Amino acid sequence: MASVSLTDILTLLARLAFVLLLYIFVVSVLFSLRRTIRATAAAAHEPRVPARLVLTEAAPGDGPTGRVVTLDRPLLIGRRPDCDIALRDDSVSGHHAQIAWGGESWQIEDLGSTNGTLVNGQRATRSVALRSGDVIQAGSATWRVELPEA
Amino acid sequence: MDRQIQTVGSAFLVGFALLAMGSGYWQIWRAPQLANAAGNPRVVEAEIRASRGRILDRTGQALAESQDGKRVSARPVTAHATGYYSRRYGTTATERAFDRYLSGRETSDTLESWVRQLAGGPRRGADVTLTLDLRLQEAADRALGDKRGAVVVLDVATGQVVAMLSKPYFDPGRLDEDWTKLSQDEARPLYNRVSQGLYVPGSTFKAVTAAAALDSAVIQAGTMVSDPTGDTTIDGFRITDSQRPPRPTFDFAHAFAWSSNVIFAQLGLQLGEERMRRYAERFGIGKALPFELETSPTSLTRTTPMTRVLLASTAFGQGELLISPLQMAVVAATFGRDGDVPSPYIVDTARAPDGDVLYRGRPGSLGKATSAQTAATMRSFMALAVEEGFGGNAALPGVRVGGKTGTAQSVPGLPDHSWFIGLAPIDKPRYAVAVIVEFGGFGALEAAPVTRQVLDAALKLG
Amino acid sequence: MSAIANRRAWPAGRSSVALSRAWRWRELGLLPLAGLPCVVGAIVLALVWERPLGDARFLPIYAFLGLLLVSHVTLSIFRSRSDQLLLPLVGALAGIGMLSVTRLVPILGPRQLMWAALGIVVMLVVAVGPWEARLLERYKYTSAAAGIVLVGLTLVFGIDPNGSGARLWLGTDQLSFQPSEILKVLLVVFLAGYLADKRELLTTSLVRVGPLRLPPLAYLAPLVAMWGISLALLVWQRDLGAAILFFGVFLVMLYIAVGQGWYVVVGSVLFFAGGVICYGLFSHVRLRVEVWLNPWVDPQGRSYQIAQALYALGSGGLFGSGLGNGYPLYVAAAHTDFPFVALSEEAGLSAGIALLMLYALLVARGLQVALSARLPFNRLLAAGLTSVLALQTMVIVGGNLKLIPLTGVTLPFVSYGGSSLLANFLILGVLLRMSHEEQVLRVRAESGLSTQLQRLWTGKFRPLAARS
Repeated sequence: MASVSLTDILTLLARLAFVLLLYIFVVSVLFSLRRTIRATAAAAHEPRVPARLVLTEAAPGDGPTGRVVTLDRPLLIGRRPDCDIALRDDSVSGHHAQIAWGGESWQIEDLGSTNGTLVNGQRATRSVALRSGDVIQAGSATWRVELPEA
Repeated sequence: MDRQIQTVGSAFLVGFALLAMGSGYWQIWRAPQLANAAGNPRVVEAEIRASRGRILDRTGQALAESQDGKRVSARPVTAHATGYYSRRYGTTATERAFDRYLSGRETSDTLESWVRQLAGGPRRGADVTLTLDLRLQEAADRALGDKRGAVVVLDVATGQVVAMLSKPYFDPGRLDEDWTKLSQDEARPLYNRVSQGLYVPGSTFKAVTAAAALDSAVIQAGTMVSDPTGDTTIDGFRITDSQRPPRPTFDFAHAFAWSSNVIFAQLGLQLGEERMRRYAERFGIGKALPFELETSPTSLTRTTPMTRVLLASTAFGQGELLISPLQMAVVAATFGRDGDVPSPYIVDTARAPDGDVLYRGRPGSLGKATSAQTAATMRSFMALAVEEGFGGNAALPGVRVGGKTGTAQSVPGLPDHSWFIGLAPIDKPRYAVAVIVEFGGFGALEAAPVTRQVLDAALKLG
Repeated sequence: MSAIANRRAWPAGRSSVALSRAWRWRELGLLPLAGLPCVVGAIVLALVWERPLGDARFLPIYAFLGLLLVSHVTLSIFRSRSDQLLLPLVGALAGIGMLSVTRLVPILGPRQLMWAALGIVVMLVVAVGPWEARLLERYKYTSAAAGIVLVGLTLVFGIDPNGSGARLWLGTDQLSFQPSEILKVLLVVFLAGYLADKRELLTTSLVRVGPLRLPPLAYLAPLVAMWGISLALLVWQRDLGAAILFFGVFLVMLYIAVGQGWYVVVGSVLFFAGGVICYGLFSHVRLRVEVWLNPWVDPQGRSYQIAQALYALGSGGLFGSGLGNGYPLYVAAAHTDFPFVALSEEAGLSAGIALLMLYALLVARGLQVALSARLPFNRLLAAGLTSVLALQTMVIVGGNLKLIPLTGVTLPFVSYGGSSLLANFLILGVLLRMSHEEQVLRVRAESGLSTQLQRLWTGKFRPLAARS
């Protein structure tokens, strides 16, 4: 003969479920977080070949030439202040182009700029792999790509 | 900036960890203290929601029950048996000893109780039935009148306590309100005189001495003894009879009936300390009797080894003896059970709301004190004491009552305490009684008549 | 030609780039998990109160969960790339808040829902609107001015609709809001803007003053002045919790901007000095400290709240006395000041710790948004807003647990309080906005899609599109 009713048991189960579900949610968020961190860490640990960009030409106000930029992480080129290489040249768009590691080489890609991004004089419409000696141009600014001897 | 943001993040993490620890401190570490604290309103709320079991007498009458979260007593006359239940002042007697059952924490089904505990829902307690008979209790109350003292009645066959009165008593339901008055009352109403009261037994103790002497064949019922002057001296200490026997020589049985201190003093010396101690121990004297309620340990003497004077005095019931009324009732009952010492108990059953019996009190024995032969002889002694001795006031028409008076020193300047132990019907005893009337004078004067009334009521109840 | 041939595979990463994956699946998966505890809680209450699940008092809870779904759908439709963990986390917290209000003061349920709805609308507008977070940088001084005006208004017109002893509200008895909640956002905007702007000056052109290197007073002064004024006003107004909060946020943002640890040390010393002065000057401060040190001094009178809070905590244990089964209402103002205690009493230490974990995760996520931002202003803004949430939580829970003196700040998203909900949803909106912006940038960096496809996929609102 039980003096514990079905309602009591249901209530007890629901109470336990409440706390359990809270923790299940916490754990799910933690897992999601981990995946995020893993992904960014993985991206960060991609083996890369370090490269350099040497400024060969620039609009007045963007000089002096000869300045070297080390290429070791994704680079955003443009006029907006949040770009890694922020230029003042009017012919450069806000987010003009970007350079990122493409698994086997550094790639440059135009981000829909008005005047286009040139690689060795040719307008780049898709992402282009960079090799040592390539010349890239955005507006009036020109760089030479230098890679270490393979 | 990155590093700083990360540092700040770690600092916040530490902060949250501290919060978690703080939470754990209050919720786990200090929980027992806080959950039961006097200021915590949840304690009262839990009381109101839970239904504590009732305490009933053997006929089913309610002695104590819960109303609106308060514990009320229908019958204050049983106050010392039920005990009080107060949040501020604690619990005593049955309320305490059987709290697990009354509060509902004890159940028959462990799974159920575990679920209940987790669910934290309101509990329904078990009803506890005592062996007391309310009618007898009330009769004892009437018999004692407005005197202070104690009355205890044992069922000889089982050892059940059928009546246990300690006067003055109080109303447990009004304990919180009356506490100051009660705790400062010099008559000490909160004290259970039956099991906790320690008194000099006076001549009632002669029953123990006589039983010890008979059982060890130091003396026989028919042995002639003489007490011509009603007094004697032992080691310079003068011992007198409270009343000179009618004859200078008589048999031992009459020495008992006429309560001769002189004869018993000499008998004590003959018995010797070692035998005295041994028999006292067999009856349960020297420690607290096993009992559900609070008991005080009785004692034969404080001194080891005993001097001759002390031994002699102890033998006739003075000395350093400290005995409780419950103990004397047990002694009396022993003679009704062929020398087997009963283990007294007062709780009969604890019954859960669904009817399951969770606890059952059972008769027990503390061992054998004397042979059946000795017990029979003692019964005849006690009958003689009532018929020819000082116990006449305990006699009942149509029933043979046996007993022994006792007059014990109380406080210098005040009347002695009046004692009586009784057994009836003496041939096949059903009830054993011990009565003490504080400051009542001679045993025969106050305690014996009370015993008569109580036995009368008991035997009428059947 | 060569361009096509030169195309390479891009790093896998977690670029949720493909057109077909524009929906916010992760968020959709987490939202039910976030809302379920809330529903189960309602079930417990329904069982304990013996009312049907469809009873009127549970409707605000369901409505709120519906609002969460609407938010998710809105964000997805507007192709928001914002972080997908923030909304579920806040949803879980606010859901517990709805549950808490329903349990403690059911008639206020619809009120809480109304403010939550308002807050969610604000959040969505901020998150998907055609503006950028860095726009706020331009309005830093406006922010500061608005803040001071608000405080001034409260000083003059302030009312005390709850009888708490301090006139901290504006409005009428029926509808009032607490300006200090908006003030905290304004303060962070100002500080983020100012510190981002003057950051280099503050770190580079240091002046030696004895053994310390201080930034030039001219630059430090407006900061200290702004902070000092708001602090003084708050203390004068008896809003001690807000004072502690503002002070903390100020220190944190200064530290992040300037990177010198000893600022924190000096700041803390100043804080304690200020605290001692206040203790000496104000009787109400003395009262709070006294009650904090010994809550048993007058458990029926002055220290009633904290004493009852401790009793409630002690009666909870590991699994609590059961939702609806305990007596949290013995703690006065449980739904506004002590929701943590109320939850801990009825659902136990296990639930309390889970709640703290949720806050910790929210703060962690907010700081990650800060870390992934490119612009200094964005970083400071995100870090500052997140710190507000973190500090507010720590101050109120710390006060509940007698770790620090009790103050009147609210537990974000869980306490009953319209202004608090509004302000905190606003904060969430800004964080979502910022994480959206950063994510768009990052996706662009990792995507390798042609520019044509990019134009299509970022949708109608292209705040980061190249200007022609």
